[in-house]
Amino acid sequence: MSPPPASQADVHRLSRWSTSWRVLAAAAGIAALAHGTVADSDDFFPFGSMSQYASAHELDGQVRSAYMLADTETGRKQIPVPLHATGTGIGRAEVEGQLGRLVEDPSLLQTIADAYRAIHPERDQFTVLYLMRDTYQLRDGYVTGRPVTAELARWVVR
Amino acid sequence: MKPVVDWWTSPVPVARIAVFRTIVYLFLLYDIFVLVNDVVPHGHAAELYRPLFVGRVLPLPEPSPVLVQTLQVVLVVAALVAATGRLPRLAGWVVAVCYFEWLVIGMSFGKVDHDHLALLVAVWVLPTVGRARHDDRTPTEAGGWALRCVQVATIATYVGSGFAKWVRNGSPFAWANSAVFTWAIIRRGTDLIVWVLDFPWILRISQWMLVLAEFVSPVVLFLRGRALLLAVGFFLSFHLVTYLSLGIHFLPTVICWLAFFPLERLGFAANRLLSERIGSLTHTRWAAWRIPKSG
Repeated sequence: MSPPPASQADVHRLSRWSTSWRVLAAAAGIAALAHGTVADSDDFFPFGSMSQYASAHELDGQVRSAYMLADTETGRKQIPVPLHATGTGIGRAEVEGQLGRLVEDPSLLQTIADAYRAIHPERDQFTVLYLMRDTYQLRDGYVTGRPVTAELARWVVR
Repeated sequence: MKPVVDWWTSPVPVARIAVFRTIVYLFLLYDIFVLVNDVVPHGHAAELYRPLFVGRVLPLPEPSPVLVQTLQVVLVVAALVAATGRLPRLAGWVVAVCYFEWLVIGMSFGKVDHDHLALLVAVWVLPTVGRARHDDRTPTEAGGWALRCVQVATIATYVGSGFAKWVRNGSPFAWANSAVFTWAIIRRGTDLIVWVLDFPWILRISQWMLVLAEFVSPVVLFLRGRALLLAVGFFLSFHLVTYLSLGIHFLPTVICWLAFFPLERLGFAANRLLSERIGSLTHTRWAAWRIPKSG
C-alpha cells in the first residue's frame, strides 16, 4: 500500500526566507540558553540554567532537608504534611525554594492549610503547622550520627 | 555557512513528523495530568506565586482555579485534535501557547524543573511543519528542521547541566568530587539506594561518569546506527537509575529522544496492519490474493 520511495525531485524544499528564519530562531534559542547558563539563573525559563542538582556539596558539609508537620482537628500531633502536587499542591522543593520567605512571614503557611482544605475538604484538617528541618553532618562523604532537628516556623491555622 | 544550514534542515520523511507529532501530543496529556499535575492545585495557593522572568515581562494572568481549569480543558481538546494530525497549525499553536502558560504557572512557585526544555521546543516547532500524513515518505526540510531542533534541545538539556555545574562551582569538575549524590540520596533516596551511603566512592565515580557524559553529549548529534543506540541507551539507563533511586524520571526529555529515530516505520507498520485487517474483513481469503497490491 505504501507509495514508492520519493526521488530527490520530490523533496519538500524550504524557500530562502523560510530557511533563514528557522536557522536564526535555532541560533537565538541556543544563545538564550547560553545566557541563562552563564547567568546561573533558572528565572529565564525555558532558557534558564539547568541548575537542578548543579551545586557541589562539601564532603565535610551538612545536608539539610526541610519538611512540614501538622497538628490536626481530631487531635493528632505532628503528622507529616504531604508536600506534593496531590497533597497540598505545594511541593517540598517549593517550600525549600521559598524557605527564607516562609520563616520571615509564617502567615504564608496559612496558604498551605487553605490549599489542603480546598483540595481535600473531607480530610482531617490542620490546626497548627510546623516548618521543620533536619540537618545531617558529613565527614569525608560519610554520614555521621543522627540528624539534628530544628523547628524553623510555627503557624496556628486560622 | 551552507553545511550548517544543510545540517539544520536536512530532510526527513513527512511520516516521521506525523508519528512524532502523535506521540508528543498524546504524551502531553499524560504530562499535564500526571507529571506537572500541580498546576490546578497551585490555583489554590496564589499567594506563593512568584512569576518567572517571562511571567513578569509578558502580561500573563495570575493563576486562579478558573484559569487553570480552563487551560486544562483547552489543552486536552487541542492536543487530542493535534494528535490526529488534523488542523496541525491551529491546534498546534493553541497547544504551544497553552502548554507554555501551563508550565510557567507550574514552575513559578519556587522550583523550576529542567526536564521540559525539549518537549516545550517540540510543541513550538511542530506546528511550523503543517500537514503531515502517516504514510507520506516524501522528504521534507521543514520537518527536518523541527526534528533537529528537538534533538538539539534534548542534548542541550545534558550539556547545559554540565555547564551549569561548571558555572555554579567555578570549575568543571568540582561537582564530580563533591558529596552531591550523598546529599540527594539523604534527602530523597528510595529503599533501593540508601545502602550506597556507606560507599561514597561509588557515588563519586558515578558523578564523574555523569558529568563527563554531559560534556561529551553533543557528539550524539552526529552518531548513527549502533553507536547512536549505545549512546541513547546510556542516557536512558541513567534516567532509569535516577528514577529507581531518587524518584526523578525526566520522562519529558526521554520522549524527545525519539526524534533521533526513523519513527515513520511505526506509521508504515500500523498502516500495513490496518489494511490487512480491513482486507481480511471485506474479502474472502481466496479473493483477497487476487487483489493486486497497489504500488
